[in-house]
Amino acid sequence: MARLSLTLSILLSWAMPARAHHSFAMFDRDHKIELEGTVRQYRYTSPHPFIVLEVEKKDGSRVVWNLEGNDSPTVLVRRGWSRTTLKPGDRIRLRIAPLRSGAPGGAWVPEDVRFSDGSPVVSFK
Amino acid sequence: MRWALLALLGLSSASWASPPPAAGSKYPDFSGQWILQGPYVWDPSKPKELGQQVPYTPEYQKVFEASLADQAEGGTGNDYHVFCVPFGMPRMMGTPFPMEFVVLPERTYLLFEDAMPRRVYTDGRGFPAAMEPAFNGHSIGSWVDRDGDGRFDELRVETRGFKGPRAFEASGMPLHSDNETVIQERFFLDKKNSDVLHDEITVIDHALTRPWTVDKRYRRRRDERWLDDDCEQDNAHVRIGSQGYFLSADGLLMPTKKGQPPPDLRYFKQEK
Repeated sequence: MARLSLTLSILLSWAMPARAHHSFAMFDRDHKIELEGTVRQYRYTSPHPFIVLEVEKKDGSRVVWNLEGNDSPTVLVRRGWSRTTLKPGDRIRLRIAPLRSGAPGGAWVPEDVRFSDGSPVVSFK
Repeated sequence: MRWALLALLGLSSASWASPPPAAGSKYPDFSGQWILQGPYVWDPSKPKELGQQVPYTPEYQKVFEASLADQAEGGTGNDYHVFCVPFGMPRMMGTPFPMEFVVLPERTYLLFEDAMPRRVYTDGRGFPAAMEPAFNGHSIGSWVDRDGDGRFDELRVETRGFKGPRAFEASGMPLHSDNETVIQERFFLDKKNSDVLHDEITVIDHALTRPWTVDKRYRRRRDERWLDDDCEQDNAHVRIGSQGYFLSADGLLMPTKKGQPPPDLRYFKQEK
C-alpha cells in the first residue's frame, strides 16, 4: 500500500504544473484571473522568465503587468520553450495567479499561455 | 560553475556527458543526468506543509507554522531562496534541477545547474578541526560493498559545517539557527531499476526531536543537456528589512501582501 501511495504521488507529481523551486506564496493560485494583451517584453532569464504584458482595460486605460514564469528556463527549455517562443507585439491570453496585494504582478505556468486566437504557443513535450 | 569544474578536471567537450565507469570498475554506474522525482516536498511520501509531520521541537513547530502563516498572506516565510540565498544542504537535494555525479578515486563531485558543487572526499580523511561554515557544508564519504561482490554499490556521506539560514523546502520548513546540522546520506541504485537513484537522507538537527529520514528518488536521463541557472540574473523578488516586495514592469517596488507598508526611506532626502 505504501508503495502504491508513493507511486501515485510520483505519478501525480509529473502531472503537476507547479515545479517552482522557491515559494510562490505571494501569488494567489486559488484565485487565478485571465488576462489578454500585447507582449511588451519577453525575458527568458534566470531564475524565472518574465512576460511584460500590456492590457487594455474596459475604460480604455492600460495596465502593464509583470508576470513571472513558475518554471525556470532550464526546466522550460526541456519542454520546448525557448527565448524566441514569444516576441514583442504578440497578442496572448493567459491565466495568472495575481499578487495577493492586487498590484499588477503575477505568475504563470506554461500550460496556461496561449495566443489570442487560441493556438498554443508551444506543443508541450 | 559546472563547466569550469569539468574544464578543471580536463574533460573534453566530447565528454560533457559523464561516461559510465569502465568495464571492471569497482564503482557503480552513477553516470547521466539525475532528475528528482517529485513532489517537491521534503518527504515525498507525505502531503505538503503540516502533512509532512516534521518531528519538530515545540519551539520549531511554531517557527514552521509562522512561516506557513506568513506565506498564506503573501509573505515568503522562511524561504530565503526567494531572494537567491543558496539552497544549501539538505534542500539542494530536493529541487527540480538536474544533478550529475563525477566519481573520482579520492572524491566525488555532485554538480547542479543552480548551485555550487558538492565535494565529497572519499580519501579517508576526517572532518577538519575547524571548518569555515558553508551552505553546502563539508562532506566526507566512503564507498561500501554491501553485498560483498567486490564492487561498491553505495556511497555514504556525512555532511557538517553549515551556515544559514537554511530550510528543507519552499514552505520555509526551518533548520535550527545554530547550524549544527549533521546530514547522513546513502546513495544507491534501485535494485529493480538501475535508472532510479536513491538518496536516503537522515537529518540530525536541534530543531528536531529525532533524526528524520526520507528517501529521495531521482530518474536517470541519458540524453543529457546541461544548462545554467543563475538566480541573481533577473530576480524580481526584493527583500528590504523584514519585508519582501515584487518589482513592477518598470522596476519599481510593488507590495506582495494586502496592506503591506512601503520600505522605510528615512535615510533618503525627500521633498517636503
